[in-house]
Amino acid sequence: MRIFSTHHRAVGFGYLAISTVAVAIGVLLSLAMRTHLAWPEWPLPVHGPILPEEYLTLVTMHGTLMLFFVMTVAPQSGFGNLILPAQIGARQMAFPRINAASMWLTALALVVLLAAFFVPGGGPIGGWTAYPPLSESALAGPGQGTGMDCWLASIAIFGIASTISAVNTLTTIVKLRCEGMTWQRLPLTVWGWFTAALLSVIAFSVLLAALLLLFCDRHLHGSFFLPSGDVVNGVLLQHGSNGSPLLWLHLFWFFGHPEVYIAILPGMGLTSMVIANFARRRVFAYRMMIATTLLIGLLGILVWGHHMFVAGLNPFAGTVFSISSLAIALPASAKVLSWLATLWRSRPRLTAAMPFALGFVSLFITGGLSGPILAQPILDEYLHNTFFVVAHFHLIMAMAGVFGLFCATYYWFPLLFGRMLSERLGKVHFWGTLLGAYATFLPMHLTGLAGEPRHYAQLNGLAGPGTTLLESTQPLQVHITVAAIFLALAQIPLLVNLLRAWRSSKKAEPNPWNATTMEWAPESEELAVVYREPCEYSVTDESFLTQWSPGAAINTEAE
Amino acid sequence: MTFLQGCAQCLDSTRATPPAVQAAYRHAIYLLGGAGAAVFAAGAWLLRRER
Amino acid sequence: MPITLTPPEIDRRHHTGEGDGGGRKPPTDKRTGGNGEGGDNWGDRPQGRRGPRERLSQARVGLFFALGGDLMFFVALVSVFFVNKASGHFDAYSHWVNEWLPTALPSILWLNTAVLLVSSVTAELARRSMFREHDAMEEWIGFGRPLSRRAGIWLGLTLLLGALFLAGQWMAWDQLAAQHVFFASNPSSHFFYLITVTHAVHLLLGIAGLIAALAGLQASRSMATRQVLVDSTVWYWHVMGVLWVFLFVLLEYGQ
Repeated sequence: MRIFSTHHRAVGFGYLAISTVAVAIGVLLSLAMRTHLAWPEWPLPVHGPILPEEYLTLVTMHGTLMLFFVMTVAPQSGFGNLILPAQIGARQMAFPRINAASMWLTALALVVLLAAFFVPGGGPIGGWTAYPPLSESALAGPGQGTGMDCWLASIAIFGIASTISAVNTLTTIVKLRCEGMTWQRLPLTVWGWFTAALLSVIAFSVLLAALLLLFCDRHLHGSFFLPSGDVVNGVLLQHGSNGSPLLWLHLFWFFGHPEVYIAILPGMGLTSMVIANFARRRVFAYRMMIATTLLIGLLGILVWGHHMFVAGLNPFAGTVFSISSLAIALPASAKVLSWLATLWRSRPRLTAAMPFALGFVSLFITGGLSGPILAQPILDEYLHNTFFVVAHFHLIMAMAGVFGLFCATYYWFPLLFGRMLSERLGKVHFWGTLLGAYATFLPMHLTGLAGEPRHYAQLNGLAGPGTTLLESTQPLQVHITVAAIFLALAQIPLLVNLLRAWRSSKKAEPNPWNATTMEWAPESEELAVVYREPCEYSVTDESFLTQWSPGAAINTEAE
Repeated sequence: MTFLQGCAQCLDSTRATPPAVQAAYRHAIYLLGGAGAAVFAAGAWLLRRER
Repeated sequence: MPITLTPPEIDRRHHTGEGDGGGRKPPTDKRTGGNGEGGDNWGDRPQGRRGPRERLSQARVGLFFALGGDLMFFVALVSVFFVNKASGHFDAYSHWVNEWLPTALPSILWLNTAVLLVSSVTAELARRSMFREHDAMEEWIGFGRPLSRRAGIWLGLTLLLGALFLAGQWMAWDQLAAQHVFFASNPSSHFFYLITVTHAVHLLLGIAGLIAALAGLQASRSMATRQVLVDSTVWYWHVMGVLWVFLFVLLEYGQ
């Protein structure tokens, strides 16, 4: 492929390459963090012992890389660009050149972010949330000068690139569907991409506004977020007085909450389709699944205050946000019920993609159950900024999302590369990752309940009454770290699998999973036509009807 | 079920805030949420309209 | 002729051909068209075959979503505006102090607003001229370039007015600076500069779009491309104009 190709496959692979680099660095950062928590004197190779402010840099960059460059890019822009056009019967995305441009902009954003490690002062320490007033001034700590500026620039570029990419996705889905592809026949993956793109368009602009205002505060003597009389490191900041950090929180979380739904919605769509396909069952209540996807998107715009229950938010507003957050449990539970109902009394074919889809459901339930707990302000008062929250979002977003990505990899590998991945290695990978994920993140509920705060580099030798409880979690900290290392190592079978398949010469069949959606249709010069909804399997799975064949059912070959 | 859910310190801060500022925050929340929901609804309607 | 109340897609019962009936008269087709029959609906055709408006429609949809996002950007700024305006702090004597002092708008902004509104009118004239059927057919066939010439004139005028607007904004900033009102002077001036500068940046993008449209009118050999370029740029221009009116009203009366 030409390096600046505008073909959607090239752009999709480019995005996946960006995500791969980001995830590798993000994992290393997280391992460094975990090792420091378990064994604080451990020196980082080449660098030496990790200082508290350096720990904060690890936290900030880990969060930023993983959430932006992995969870927003890979499911939506990465796999979206690879598979979306085929699934709606189009040959390309709506605006191919702009599509390619947004991919290169995202790559630029990654480079700018990673540059923050190497600028004077080092990387930013404000967390991926960059709350003022500590993000307002270079005096707040090492890395809050140039490092923070790199962060601002990187995320601003990323936001613009994501908005452009989302506009492309939306126009493609609205306008480029092939003949017969009504919105009721759209696969649920496409609904996931559509809703996530719509959320992207709405949310990233608000983030851009917030970043612009923060930039003005930092460099142009603005005072949008700066309260009066703020003293940072002994210096009185005298920019003005009408500002409030709460404003940043509102703007940031107005973006931040839809952001996490952008991360998970494509995975939810894929899980529905993969479960249906390998259980050889229709998706239970297909139209309801479409409705719940849209509803989760819409409600996701209206819940941002639940990140601010202890931030000084007006408690009346807190009640409203609590109710809207609890309301999201309804469509989310409906989705879970549909997945379970699709599976009920079926005999699923457990090729490598299916366990990951089931794992997605498992992690979604586990992580989701702590959601309604955190959505209640009275409980969040204690749990805010503890590891309970870390457990919640790692299970429901990071691990479930990553399982969605693995599911996509195993499912679509034959389509993209014409080779099959080894089933055996896939199973090994699955079990290792599932066990590793639960072993790492379940205990964090306990340490969080014991009061372990987020972002703390030091859990031992602190002063104060809560420290005994905190120090008692040390064995769990070691366990979590060991589990995290195991989780990271459990990815090796995937790498081996990919390498082996890449080099193997055994070709895959055209539609190895006997799927019904359009991306598996044979290549043809004629225009695509869609005849029915996806997931039409005969009762005993003797045959199935693909979306692209006019009438004849295809016999399912015996395995 | 009380209509006030949140930390006691937040309540104190809120009580110490002039009503004009409380109203400003309230209006800002409505504006952001309403505009966001409206753009979302418009986007979904556009898809429905096109077959 | 029967009055057809059933849309042709549903009423397909009369379509079936009987094959070789042998000796009978050929069937007479009593449907004579109309009522959406006869493949009129281009939207029903496969993607890529939906007629000359297809790419235009795609561009408009893309622009709609992009502008929806842009709207959220300005909504965020306006939200912060209202909160900052009402906010304040307690000084050392426990008095509530709100430092917000409304910035008096230089009166040239009224002139700028009028210029921008007129530029929207010229822009719309340019856009409409792109779709005049007679001129479009002449140009498409190759009899001269009446369409591009007319549209080019109006676009050029729009460009001029847009540049005048930006020059006027610059003068407004100069006037304020001469009165020592800078970005950092007061919370209200933060917003004045922030809002006018971000709008001006958006308008600069619009000007770039106008230049691209003019270049496209000259260089592009596809009629559809030229229509898409002009149409998208002009819609963007209109939205920026309406946005400016809102922002101007906010700054003039909302401080």
